[in-house]
Amino acid sequence: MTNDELLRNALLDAAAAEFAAELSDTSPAVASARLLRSMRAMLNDPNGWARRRRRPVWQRLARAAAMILLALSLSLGALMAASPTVRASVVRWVTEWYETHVLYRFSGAYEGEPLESLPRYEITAMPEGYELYRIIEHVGSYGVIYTNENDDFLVLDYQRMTQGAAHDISTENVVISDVEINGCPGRLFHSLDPEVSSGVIWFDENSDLSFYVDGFFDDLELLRIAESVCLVDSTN
Amino acid sequence: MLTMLLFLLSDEQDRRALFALYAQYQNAMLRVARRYFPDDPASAEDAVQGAWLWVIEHFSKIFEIPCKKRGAYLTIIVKNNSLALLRKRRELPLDESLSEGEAALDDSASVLDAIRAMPETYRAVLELRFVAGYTTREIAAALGLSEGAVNTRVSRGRALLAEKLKKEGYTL
Repeated sequence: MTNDELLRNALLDAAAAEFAAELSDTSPAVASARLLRSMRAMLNDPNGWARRRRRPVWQRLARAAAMILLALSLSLGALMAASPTVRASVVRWVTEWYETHVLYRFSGAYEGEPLESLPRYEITAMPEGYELYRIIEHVGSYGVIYTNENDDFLVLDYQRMTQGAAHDISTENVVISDVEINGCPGRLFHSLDPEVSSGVIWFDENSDLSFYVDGFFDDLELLRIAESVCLVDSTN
Repeated sequence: MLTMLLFLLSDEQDRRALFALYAQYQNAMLRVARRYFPDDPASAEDAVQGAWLWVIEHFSKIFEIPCKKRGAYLTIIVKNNSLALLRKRRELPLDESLSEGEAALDDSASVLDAIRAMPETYRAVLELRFVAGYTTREIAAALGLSEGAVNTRVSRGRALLAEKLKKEGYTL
């Protein structure tokens, strides 16, 4: 045995002695739901889990921005086709299911207030530690990204349910369920992959807006955040 | 990237081995991490996940460790992930001198006592090199030391401990 191997064994023995109490304690240690989800994913697909863990932070934040930008790009069709004023006299949306995503296509008519006049909504029950990261605003649509110190993101995105606008959500590795947010119909997209966030969309016919909240939370917390979204400035 | 992938789990047998390690040591790993983050369970869990990530990416190394020492091996990986997190947040002092490490190695101390008495970052360098098999650059990045400081600690720590190991006739 080489000196280096002897040294390795001595270091291992020293660690075994130092952490003898931890190594001999067979009772279960308390773990968060998030860790348990992550560990389940690791045991199911260790290599995939490792690759996702190595994904740079900027990619995760870019994904949050991409969600909003996708909704924006889908809305542009509405802007080109519509008059400069908007109010849905008849609000409708069609749900189109595809193999990997679901598309909510809106078909509200145009009359009334200018397209630019989108009121300000905010998450009033902001989870602890989250701060504003970026606002992505466009005519007829408003998105805001918050992040915490772990670089997890939380997205609030809302848009007019006008003719030509749409919202696209991935359905890969998610469980989908119908929900109600403050009396409005919606759907929860619960991600089974701990490295991919969960989301909830709902449709408020009174305000003529569709809302989407997305983040790394369990279902109850995500619904609580969604229900806390409130109008804070209606002057626009 | 290719190099890293070569060390990832390659088959169902590896996956089962990982599951067995998890079942046996996950609770101990969480408890070890909590020693370093007594009031911050989220950081303790980050350290544990970082440790599993390292284990998966270097999975063949676990089989170089004797079965009965694998628990200790995993505690070393968790401990050093915790230290790296603390170092990143500047919550771990950097000014431990080599002389402190050497002072712990007086003639009367056994080799295990001498290791336990070492300053944390001094010992961490030796563990990362001789147990985890990190390169100098990886150790420097993990512990926030210069590569020169890592090399100095490795060579002096190795020389000092090797002498004691021989005197004690240390074997498996």
